[in-house]
Amino acid sequence: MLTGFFIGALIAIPLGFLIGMSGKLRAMFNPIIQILRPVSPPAWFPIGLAVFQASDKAAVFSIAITSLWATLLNTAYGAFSVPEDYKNVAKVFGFSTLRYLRYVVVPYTLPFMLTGLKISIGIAWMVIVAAEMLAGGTGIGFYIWDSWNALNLNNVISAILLIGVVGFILDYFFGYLQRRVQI
Amino acid sequence: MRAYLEIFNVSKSFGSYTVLKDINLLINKGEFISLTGHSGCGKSTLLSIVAGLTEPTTGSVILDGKEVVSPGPDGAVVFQNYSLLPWLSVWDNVMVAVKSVLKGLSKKEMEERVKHYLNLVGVYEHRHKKPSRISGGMNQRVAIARALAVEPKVLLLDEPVCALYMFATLRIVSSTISFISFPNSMLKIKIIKFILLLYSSKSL
Repeated sequence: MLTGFFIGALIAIPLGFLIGMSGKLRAMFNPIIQILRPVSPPAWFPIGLAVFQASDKAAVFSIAITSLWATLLNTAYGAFSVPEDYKNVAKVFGFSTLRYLRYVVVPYTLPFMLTGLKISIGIAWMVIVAAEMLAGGTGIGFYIWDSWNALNLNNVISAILLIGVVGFILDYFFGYLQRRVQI
Repeated sequence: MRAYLEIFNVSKSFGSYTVLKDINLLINKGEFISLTGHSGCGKSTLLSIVAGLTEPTTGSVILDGKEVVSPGPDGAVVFQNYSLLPWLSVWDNVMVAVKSVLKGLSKKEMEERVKHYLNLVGVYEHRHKKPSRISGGMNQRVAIARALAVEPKVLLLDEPVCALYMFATLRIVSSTISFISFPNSMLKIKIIKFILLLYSSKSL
């Protein structure tokens, strides 16, 4: 689950900065994003299977591709909305591109990015259960399906509660990070 | 002899709305120029043209023999709303500008410089605080320190007194000017309002 989330974030964050900072890239990627974003997680699973020939990798793939959009869009929005005042500071004091990124764009975008990551981890956590049910073999999703097949509803309900609690903890953790970077 | 800062026939229009029309101004080294006028008359626009942040519709600005075509540390601006970076401490706000502009200095020289200018405007004891933790007047003083610290050829102050009470302003202006040849002319133009404080970095 975390692998998929991190792969998603690793793609989404840099791409989000690029899209946010460049009008051309934004125009180029926006239609692609708008079309791929609403696709339901299990729909990606066969594509993952076809590409990677392994169900666990296909699960990681589904998680990555469905969880990256929230991070991507929020990061892009943050980088896009850097106030003119801060841009002027960078211009007047002749900041290099690297310095501009390090001292202006990244710190300004950080809260937006964390909002995106918070939504993404929630989505990743939801997708994992669906993906594990499809992939089979391991994980809490498989456990639920397996318990259902054994007609053990007690286990199913315990697993649902566990999923909810873990989801809550993940959300709380990112909420905490978000509050830390709030200016 | 040529003037240090020359503004030739500068006009600026936004669509059909003309903000500035045929502004001509010759300013010598060490002069302190204050331009005033009613609000919305183009004060920040002219300042931003002199800083190179806005391109004039016609005319040109020449600073020390070179045309101003892009913004740079030669024309350091103290913005109307201070524009300190809120995620950096007071110290880092000045430091990042010094690091960016005066690349040739050693780390120690940079620190000395930042310390000197923060002391000058009287915010050195607040150097570890974020801009949001200090008053508006102090923010403005930090912005002034940041602008002075990079040895600009011209210091552009956009409404520098709005957040400072008059006494503090006079203290800062007079302490800045103690390195600067003292103002010897004061210009008033009916249609523009800002203070353009000009000084030579060589006299530092």
